[in-house]
Amino acid sequence: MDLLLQIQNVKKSYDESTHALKGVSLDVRQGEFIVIIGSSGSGKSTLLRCINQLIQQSGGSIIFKGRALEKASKNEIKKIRREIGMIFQHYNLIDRLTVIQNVLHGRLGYMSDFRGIFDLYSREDRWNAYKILERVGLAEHIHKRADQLSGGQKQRVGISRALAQNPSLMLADEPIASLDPVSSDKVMNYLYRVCHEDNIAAVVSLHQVDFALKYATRIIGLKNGLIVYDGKPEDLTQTLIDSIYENEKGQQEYDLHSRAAAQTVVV
Amino acid sequence: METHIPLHKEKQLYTWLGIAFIMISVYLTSIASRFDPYEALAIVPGVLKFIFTDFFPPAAGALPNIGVPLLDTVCMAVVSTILAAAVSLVLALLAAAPTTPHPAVKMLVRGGVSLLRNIPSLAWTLILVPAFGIGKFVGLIALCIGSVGTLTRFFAESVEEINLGGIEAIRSVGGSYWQTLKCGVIPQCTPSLISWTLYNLELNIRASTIIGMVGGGGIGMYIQFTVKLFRYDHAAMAIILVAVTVLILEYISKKIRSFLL
Repeated sequence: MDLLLQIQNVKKSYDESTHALKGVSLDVRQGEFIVIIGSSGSGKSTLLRCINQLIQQSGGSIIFKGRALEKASKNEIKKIRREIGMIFQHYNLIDRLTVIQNVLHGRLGYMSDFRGIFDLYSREDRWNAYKILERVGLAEHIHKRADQLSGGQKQRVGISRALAQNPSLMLADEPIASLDPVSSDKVMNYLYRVCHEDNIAAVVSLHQVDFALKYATRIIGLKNGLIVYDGKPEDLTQTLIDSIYENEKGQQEYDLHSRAAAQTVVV
Repeated sequence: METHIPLHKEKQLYTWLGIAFIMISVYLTSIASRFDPYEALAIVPGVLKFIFTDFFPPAAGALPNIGVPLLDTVCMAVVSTILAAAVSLVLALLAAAPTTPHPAVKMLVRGGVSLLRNIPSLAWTLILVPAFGIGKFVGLIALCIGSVGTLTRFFAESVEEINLGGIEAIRSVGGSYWQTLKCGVIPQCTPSLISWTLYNLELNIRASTIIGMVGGGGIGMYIQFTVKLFRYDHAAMAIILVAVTVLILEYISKKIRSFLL
């Protein structure tokens, strides 16, 4: 498998006392579906945003397809971002625009300022955007305003916008954290399927360990800005999960068994 | 056993202190401004007599002379609002935190427009009349300056209220600064921009009447002339029509604004 992304000893501090990342190293290969788990504040969001340089790391190197991001110019960063799709917890759609307009935003990086400002999307771009929406089951909603959709539908628009970029890497920052269990499953399914079918590597941060175990080809455990687990889902034991979610007081924030038990009761 | 439960933990001393402070202030300021309540009451009958004998009935014969200046006043308000909105949009993008090129630019623009805003349009007219002479053009410029001051601030606040996630998304696809503005910022704040512009139009229609009185042209100037010629019945007709116009335009503007927001 080809090496797509190398993260080498990346550090990020927002000020002198808060260190979000304390030296993270990670290689991402084509075809991988990596899930990052960790409690709130473990650095998941920061790590994902460093990969497409929405946040600049304070130290270390990030190399995407052989290009070191920290050495790239602003223009080069924009060109690199086109190849990296991103999905957000709060969808980050433009509410007052239509579904198809939101999806076509994924093409902006490939267009001149002029064409972008006057919505001059090519015939081909429009058709492709429609085909993508068809793929995620939203073909009949293309002219709805984004704020008229349900949460699950909005996230599928988010996935479509990222797909419109024709990316080789997909980042997803807690894509199902604001969704109910049924929508969560649907969204994760779509996300996994499109990445698999289009051979897009994915780095997804999740709160739900059960979803991580279901979809991930590889799991990264992040705790206090450091990688504490990097391996196959099968090798992730309850003890490891406990230690990843263990806070400073030693309390468990997540318990696979009690959660599974709780679900059994409800069902 | 029942005991008395007070409504507040602290004594109501502060309330009484506050009331005493207000009463003393009223007393002192009325002495300073030579306000005499007895005299104020004494002149009421005279004022009422003046209004009812000199202003009423409003002269129907004044109508042909009122149409054009009234239209001028409305046009001044509309044109100045539109011009000011265009200028303010650019300034607001410079003055709003998510879109400003540099924090220093933000402070500079905010300081500048606050200066424009805090000098009333009336004062701008008085300042500009010696330079441009009496007439509608001066009124228009004065209204524009004041409106830029107001609208830039409101527009900048609208831009700062948008959901920054949308901007983050446009940046993440590789969008440029201008694309982010057009596709991420503007669509989110359009309703609020239009609403503030209409609100400013309401203010300007009232302000343009006043500005006319000090040399800005339009219906204000007509009222000023008729009063100077003691044709109070003509002035009365003009004032009533101004009030009706303001009410109608306010009603329309409020309808549109409630539809937008």
